[in-house]
Parts: sequence; structure tokens; C-alpha cells
Amino acid sequence: MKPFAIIKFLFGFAALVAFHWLGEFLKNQLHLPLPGAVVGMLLLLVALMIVGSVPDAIQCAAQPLLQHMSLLFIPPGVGLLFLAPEIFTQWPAILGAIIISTAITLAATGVLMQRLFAANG
Amino acid sequence: MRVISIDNLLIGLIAICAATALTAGGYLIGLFCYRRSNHFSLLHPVPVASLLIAGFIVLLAMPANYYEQGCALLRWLLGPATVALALPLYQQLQKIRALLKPVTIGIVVGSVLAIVTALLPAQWFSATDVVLRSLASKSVTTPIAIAVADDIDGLISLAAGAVILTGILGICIAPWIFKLCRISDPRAKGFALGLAAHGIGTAKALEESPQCAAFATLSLCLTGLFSSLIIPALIIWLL
Repeated sequence: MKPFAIIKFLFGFAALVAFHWLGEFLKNQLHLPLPGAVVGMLLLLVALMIVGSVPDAIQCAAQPLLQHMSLLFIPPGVGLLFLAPEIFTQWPAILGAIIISTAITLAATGVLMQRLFAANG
Repeated sequence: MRVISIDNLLIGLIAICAATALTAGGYLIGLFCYRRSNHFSLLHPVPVASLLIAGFIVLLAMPANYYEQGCALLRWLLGPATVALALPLYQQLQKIRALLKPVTIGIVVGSVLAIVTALLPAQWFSATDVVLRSLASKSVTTPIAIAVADDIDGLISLAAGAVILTGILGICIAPWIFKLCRISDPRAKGFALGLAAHGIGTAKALEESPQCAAFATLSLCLTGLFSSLIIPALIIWLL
């Protein structure tokens, strides 16, 4: 059972990597304004819609990636602490923009969606 | 063509193993603190692990780019991780076929609002061009935000930092905002959390109800998709 699960994971993972590469390839060939990985995600979405279900192998490979994705954000998090000092002098602007924008976005989206969902049942 | 000697390859491999192990160790400690503190938002694994690792690097007087170069494997994994977002998106889209119209309107309005209301105040506070480019993707899920920042010449680190800060701040103020604006529909709450506060907001929505989390996941994926399409255009228009 165990070796079978590993093979399934490897197949699924290879598929995710292949979709990423295909996305990068299409982005470069067609000069798409989207990141290659997002193009890959769209391609996989279309593929899933055509197939009509999620293949076991892809589920098996995607699960740990999605669950522990935070791990991948740590290197840029560390990089943030080693940025050039001229960026740090702008922290009031950065923090101010984030606070204002997050409050407005949460409130406006929440109110809008509550009305739209109520109108659409 | 660059010649890669066996020595360089070995040093590179050791750097990758060391940096990956260090990051994984920091992540496990961060995850432990986060779970122990009952998911206290300021103790999110990413800021905790980042501070620990930065401290470790300073303590060992390690050249800063040694760690950065060693993270090549983790950086590469962001690609397949972004592609994997197609799964939750596919699963959620199956469930909300009837609500496709309001969801589309919400994503378009919310995403544009999230970008414009961040860039305009930052401009008034006279942030520099590179900071503005890094802030544009602050409501987009981190793997996509990193890819977008890279495409529009922002700073990857700052973009990731802004995203995580937005997420943490978002879940801190969300309960007050929902109360103040009388938002009680769990679908609307989840949708707003996923749109404004991406993955961190979705994790919070999961504590409320599965329905709330489902809408958060949906808006997280769709916001990432839609924002990555319009941010390059909005940047040209606003800057």
C-alpha cells in the first residue's frame, strides 16, 4: 500500500510541475499578461472540468502543498528583514495603505455580497 | 554557457539542504507556537519562523545571500503550489453554479477596490515606485502575489510581507467591521475574508463554519486569478 501511495504522489506532482511548465511556455509564447503559474492553474482547472472529477494522484500531490504552503512563504519573509534600509523608512506609508485598504475592502465586499446573495436566494 | 564544476554543484546542494532544513525547522517551531496559542493571529508561523531564521543567520554571521540561494528548491515549489490552487477552485465552483453572477460581480468590484484603495493612499503618503509595485498584490494569495510582483518589477520580499501583514490585520479587524456594517450572512463574511485577507482569512473563516470557509476559498482563488490579470494594467494606469 505504502509504495503505491508514493508512486501516486510522484505522478500527481509531476502533473502539477508539467502544468506549471506548460503555463510558463504559453505565457512566453503568447506574451500573456499573467504569471506562468497562474496560466498553469487555469489549464489544470479546465482539464479538471473536462475530466469531471479530480484524479486521485493529483489530489494526493496537491494536498500537502496546499496544507503547508506557508512553508514556502518563509524565505521571502526572511528576505523582508534584510531589505535595503530605504524601504524601511517608508513603513508608515506601507502600513497606512494596508490598514485603509483592508478595512474598506472587507466592509464594501461584505455589504455588497450580503445584498447580492439575499437578492439571489 | 556557465560551466558548473562538481565542487560548485556540491556546495550548491549543501546550501539547498541546509537552507531547506533551516526553513522547515523554523516552520515547525512556528506551527507549534501557532497551535499552542490557539491560533493567535500575531503568532502566525510565517512571521515567527522568519524572525527565528533571521536571528539565526545574524547569530552565525552567515552571508545573507547564502540562505537566499539555498532556498532555490522552496522557491521552485511555489510554481506547482500555485497550480494546485486549481483543486479548491474546481471543487468550490461545482457547488456555487447558481451563484455565479453575484460571485463574479463581487470578485471584480472587490479586487479592483483592494488594489486601488491600497495604491492611492500609499501614493498620498509618497511611497516610492518600487514600494507601490510591491503593494499592489497585497490582497492576493501569497504564491500568486510573488509571481505578480516578479512580473511587474516589485520586490518579492516586500510583496510577500505586505500580503501576510494584510492577512493578519484583516482577521484582527474583520469581527469589528462585520459588526459595524451589520454583515451576518456567513457566505458574505467568508467571501469578504477570502477576498481581502486571502489564505489567512480563509483559515479564520474555517473557525466560523464550513460554509463560510467554502466561500472564502472560492473568493481567495478567484481574486488571485482576476487580480493577476488586472494588476499590470492598473499599475500602468495609476502610476
